[in-house]
Amino acid sequence: MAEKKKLEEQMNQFVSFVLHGEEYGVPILCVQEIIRYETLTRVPQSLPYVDGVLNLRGQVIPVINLRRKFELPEREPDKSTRIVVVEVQGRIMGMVVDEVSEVLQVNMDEIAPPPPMGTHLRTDFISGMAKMQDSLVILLEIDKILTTEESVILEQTAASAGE
Amino acid sequence: MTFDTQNYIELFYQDADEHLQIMTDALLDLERNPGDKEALASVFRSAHTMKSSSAMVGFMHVSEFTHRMEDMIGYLRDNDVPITSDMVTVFFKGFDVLKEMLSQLQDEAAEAKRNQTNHSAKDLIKVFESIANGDAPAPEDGPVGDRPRIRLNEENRNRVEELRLSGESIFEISIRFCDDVQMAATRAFLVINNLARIGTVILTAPDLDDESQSVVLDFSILFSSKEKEPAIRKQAEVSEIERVEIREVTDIEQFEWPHSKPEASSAAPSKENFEAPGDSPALEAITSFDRREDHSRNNTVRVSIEKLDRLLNLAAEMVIHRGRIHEIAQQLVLHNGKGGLEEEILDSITQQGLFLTQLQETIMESRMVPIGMVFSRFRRVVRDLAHAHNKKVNLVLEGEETELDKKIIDQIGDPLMHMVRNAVDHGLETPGERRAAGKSEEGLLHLNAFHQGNNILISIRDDGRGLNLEAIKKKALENGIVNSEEMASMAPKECLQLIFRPGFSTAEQITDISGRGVGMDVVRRSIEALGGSVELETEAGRGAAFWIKLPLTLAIIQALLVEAGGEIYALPISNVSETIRIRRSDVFSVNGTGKVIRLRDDVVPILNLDSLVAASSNGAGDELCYVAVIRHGGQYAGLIVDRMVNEQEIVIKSLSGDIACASYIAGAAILGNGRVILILDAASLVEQTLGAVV
Repeated sequence: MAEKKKLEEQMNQFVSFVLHGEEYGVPILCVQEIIRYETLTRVPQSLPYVDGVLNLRGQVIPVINLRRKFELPEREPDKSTRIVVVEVQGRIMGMVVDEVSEVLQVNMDEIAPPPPMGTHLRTDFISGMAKMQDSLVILLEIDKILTTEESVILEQTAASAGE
Repeated sequence: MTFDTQNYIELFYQDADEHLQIMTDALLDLERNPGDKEALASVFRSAHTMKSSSAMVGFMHVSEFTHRMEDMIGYLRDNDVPITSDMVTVFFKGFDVLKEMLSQLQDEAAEAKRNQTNHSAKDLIKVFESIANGDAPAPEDGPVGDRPRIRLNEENRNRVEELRLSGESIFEISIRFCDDVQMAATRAFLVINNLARIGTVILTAPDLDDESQSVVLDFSILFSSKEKEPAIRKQAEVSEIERVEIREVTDIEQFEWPHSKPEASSAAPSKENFEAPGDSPALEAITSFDRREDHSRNNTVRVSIEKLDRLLNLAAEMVIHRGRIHEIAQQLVLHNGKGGLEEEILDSITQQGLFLTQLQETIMESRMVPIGMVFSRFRRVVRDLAHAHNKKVNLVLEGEETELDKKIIDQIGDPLMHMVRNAVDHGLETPGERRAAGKSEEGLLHLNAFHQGNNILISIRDDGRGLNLEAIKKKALENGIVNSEEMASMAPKECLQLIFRPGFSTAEQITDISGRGVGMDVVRRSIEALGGSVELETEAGRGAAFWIKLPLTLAIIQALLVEAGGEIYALPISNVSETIRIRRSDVFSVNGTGKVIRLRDDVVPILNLDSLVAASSNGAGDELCYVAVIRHGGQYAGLIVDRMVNEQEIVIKSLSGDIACASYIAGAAILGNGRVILILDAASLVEQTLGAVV
């Protein structure tokens, strides 16, 4: 019983980070670790929002630039820039964020469905909006962000194969 | 169940493959040296092991089949029967059936094929039995399993002579029952009783009086009578008989005399009896085999190659990280002075480094397998090919113990096979041609493997007719690989290289042996994909030699690190032919887009790595720059880079499939400082460079 309760608690926990002054959250269960920003190795002709690759304890993982992905203005990395390493569907990748704030405990009742409009983000990237005491956190649908990526890759490959 | 059956089954397959290979090898030895007892014993052991292990995992029909095979070998061994070429062929057919059985076990869908295999298995089992009964196998005519051979002993022989003198004719009658015959033995007796009315049944094969011998679908009768064929046929034809063949025998010498079978106990003390009194030789062989096998089983484990990959990768990472720690410790010593704990750490890390290197080497060694595994496959192939073409080939294998990375071994088989087939098919002449050329009738095919520095060299040499330069030139022109102008400027050595060009091998050339539409270009490409190269030497009338150079391992490669567009890239050193410095003004434009440089007498197309990776081009005018000349598939391209960094070993890592990237990126590696660098794919770069020029 205690196990189950713990898992339920975890399911309501989100790692929150800041991107262009706005707060986002990703489920804590898919976050593997958070590392300081380090210089990435650029990969020629990769997708535009792929910043490069990184050595994560001997594993070479791709890092995506969330600002570019979400079409926000770009910004040079600084001391507070972090890479959130997430694992989704068995694949590990990093996401560059402006800064990581905290682990949020969100009450399920406080999660509102994604607004149909009014955000700059595609609604299918958003799983919901968490109403915190003094702010609103955009909860991200990590799977969707990756799936969309995949379809882009597929489209690209298909297009280049057709040439 | 307490153990994982699937695991056992996988082990069974691996064992079965090995045993088939052992048996094939041993039989080939036996064919050359029919009295080789050790070889026969090893065939027996393998058949015995396969029998038990297949029964253990529940493949009863495999077990049954190998059981019969074992019986036959047991007979051959115990009676010192020399192994004839026909017997070897029977064995090989048996192995083919076994292989089919095994592959069908793995492939659930092969129901129809399975029936066919079962059928050929049944046929072969009959042959096994007849051999075990002391009959020599029928030579290659008609379906195997036909006509058990008649053998005469002294008594029968005299009898035949007597009957013949009394004016009777001798007939050999071969009877085949229908496949679904009921009570074959009874029917056989019926036939014999019928025949006895009109003549004398001298003997039957198999011997119907001997109850230990079961009647199979075929049996033969040696019969004498004053009657003629039609009358005999009338008596012989009972129901459920598929066919009756009657042949008058004029020369009884055609029947084989049996090899004197020593009576089990009364015979003079044989060697076996001497060595193991009271023990049957078969039992002795099995027990000694078990002992040997136990010994090796206790000392080896099978590990999946993926696990070894991971181990090697981890060890390599540790080596790289040790470098980092070592550096830090050195700085600490520099800062805080000698004599402190810092120096002790440094010493300890240095010591650790030695162990790490050993660890890495040991893991690499554990992935190595002897190339003999690949070579030995060719013995059967060469034998079959030589038979099919009426050629005599002496296949000499050398350096079989030379070890190569498992991955390379897995991938080198096909290209080698192609070259071996080529050598037998096209290279070696028929005995007649060879005699005419003043050579020995038997052609020599020599395979050798040995170490040379950090590489393995494999040579495939034959003493055949060699490659015909004029024919190659003609073919290259016909197939439009080069035009006559180009041809005129080519040195003979360059012309030879034409056989490696795509499109050289054409449909016209396809025979049932080599050809098959894949040419030497595929051979070269697969060897180069392994980081190797292939070269060719030939002398008309004297033979040809191919030299394959391969790296020891694939996981770690020697690479040239270059810098372009602010990033470091690695080029596999096996693809780098040289590095040069040029002035940017030395680059010429062709067709507006393509760029070339002059390298000695050649014109080499050139590509700017900067503009490729970063879509920028820095430097112009008369500035000096570096060019790495890379080669792939016999074609060259120059790569302009900003800086040559160094040459070092790198561990190849795959880029995770998440990112689409340029085709000329082959993978990634991690440097000592933890930085990720990308590995360039020479094949793709050469292609792009050539594409820009044409």
